Amino acid sequence: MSAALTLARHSLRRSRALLIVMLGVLAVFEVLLVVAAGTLQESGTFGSFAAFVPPFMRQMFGDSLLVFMSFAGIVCFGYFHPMIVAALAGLVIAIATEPVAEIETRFLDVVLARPLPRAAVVGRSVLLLALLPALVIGAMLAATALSLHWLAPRGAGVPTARLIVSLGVNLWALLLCIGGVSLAVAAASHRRGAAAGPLGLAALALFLVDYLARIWKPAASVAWLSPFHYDDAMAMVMGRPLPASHIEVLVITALAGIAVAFVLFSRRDL
Amino acid sequence: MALDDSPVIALRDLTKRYGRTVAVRRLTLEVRAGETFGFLGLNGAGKTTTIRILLDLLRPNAGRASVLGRDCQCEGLAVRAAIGYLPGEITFYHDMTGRQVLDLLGRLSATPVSRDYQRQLLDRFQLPASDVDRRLREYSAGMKRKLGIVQAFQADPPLLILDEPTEGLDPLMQEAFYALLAEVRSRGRTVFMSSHVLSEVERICDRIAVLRKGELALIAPVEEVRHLAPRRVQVIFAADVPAPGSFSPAPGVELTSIQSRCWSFSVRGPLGPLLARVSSMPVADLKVEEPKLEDVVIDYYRESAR
Repeated sequence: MSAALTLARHSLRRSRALLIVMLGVLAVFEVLLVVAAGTLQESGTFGSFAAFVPPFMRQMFGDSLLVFMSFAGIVCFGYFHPMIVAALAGLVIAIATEPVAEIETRFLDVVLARPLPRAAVVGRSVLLLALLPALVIGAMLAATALSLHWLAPRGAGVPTARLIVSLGVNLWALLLCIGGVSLAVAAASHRRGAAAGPLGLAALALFLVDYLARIWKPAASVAWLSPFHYDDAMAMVMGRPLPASHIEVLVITALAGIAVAFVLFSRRDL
Repeated sequence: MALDDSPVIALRDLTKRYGRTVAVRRLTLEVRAGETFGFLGLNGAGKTTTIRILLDLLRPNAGRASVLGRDCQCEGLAVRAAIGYLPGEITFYHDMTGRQVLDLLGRLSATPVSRDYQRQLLDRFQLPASDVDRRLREYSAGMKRKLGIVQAFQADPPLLILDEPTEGLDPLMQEAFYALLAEVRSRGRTVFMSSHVLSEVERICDRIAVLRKGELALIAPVEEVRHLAPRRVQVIFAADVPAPGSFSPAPGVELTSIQSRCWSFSVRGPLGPLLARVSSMPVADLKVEEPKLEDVVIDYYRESAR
């Protein structure tokens, strides 16, 4: 465990600049969403937005579209905006493919020439996969809470703390799932590019599958394959509680990926 | 610490394949405690593959590798606790400083790194604190090599596995490295090194093994190998001597070139028959060039290349 912690410290030290920038940008984004939602609320724009939505779009997206056009909807958007999810998915894929990058550069040769088990290398990545997204999401949650406290206009329909935390937890579980599967793929790869590229494309494809399934019934039959299917933020914004079954699916998939990664990495040639 | 009569490294029928390519084939050898062992071969002969099996970075398809009596694959942690490793290619992250590299690898070592010993090593290789605190992207190839040597030696392990240790070092640093090897050797450390610099191997190794296409072609003490090569003898005459039609005073003596006052011979075995044959001639001087390891090993390499 101490070897995994030493490696984790080393990885954190190397990536701290990127991490701090990401943390700052996403926290600022959450603050700006609250400011933007407040401005729209005060100018009464939400009502006019709803009036402009064409009937076919209401039919396609249902009530969720109207919920989204509210103070709470805009504030919560920060936890499922495609760009935010893409940035965080990129982060976890980068963390998960670190071991294969270390094989590719032969850095692991000098590390594993020391008496530490291969599991420490994967364990380090698991630790970072769990902690770093939690850290970033924690900063986003803190930014949302503080900006709601200080910047939300009076009378605005502020989202509950429970809702915001649920969105954060669901997003974290989604990222853990992507990270766990990515770690398994990386553990069987010889080059980081060969792992990260297809993983990024697969994440995009699965995101689109889930998106398509929401607006096109035939695609709904395969939506369960997409991890994004288990992060139904819109439903939560509409009042549905955080579904435990979704978290279970995401965490179990993540654990399965992590277990496969441990086995593959312990058996392979480096 | 291993007893002197038990091998520090033992390879038994070690085989490693990459698909259809056999990188190492039924390799069997032993390296004894306190020995400096040269592991030679052309590029692709299987040297680095063997070293990586010892470190459990690669898994053999057949056979067994052990260090200090422990299996490299089943007891890898205990094996690697006894090893200091210098890879052929140094690939540290360029955004790290030399000190960060040494600290990280020191923390992962089995025994705590003595700051005094580390400083001695850095001084020996002329890496002052100002250099060690620089990022590796500012390091030359030679500086990275020196840092690599320090990280391999800093925990003072009983076995050092060195892949091309002096590659990229300037002559002064090569001397510093040889002095360091002599010192660790005097303290009973075992050294297993690969090198393409045969003069270096001849100077520092006790025994060598030559790998040819993954198979062991030769294993012997350096002194013994050197004597497999013929000596070059030049006989210099005080006056012009007519060229002989044929001149073979004994088996193993071969006349290789003739100039008016200088004949050159290649001699395997004793010099007596040659001396007896030329004693009646106006010999002014005799130059005997000692056989070199290179002469023998290069022949093995040539056969590999065929």
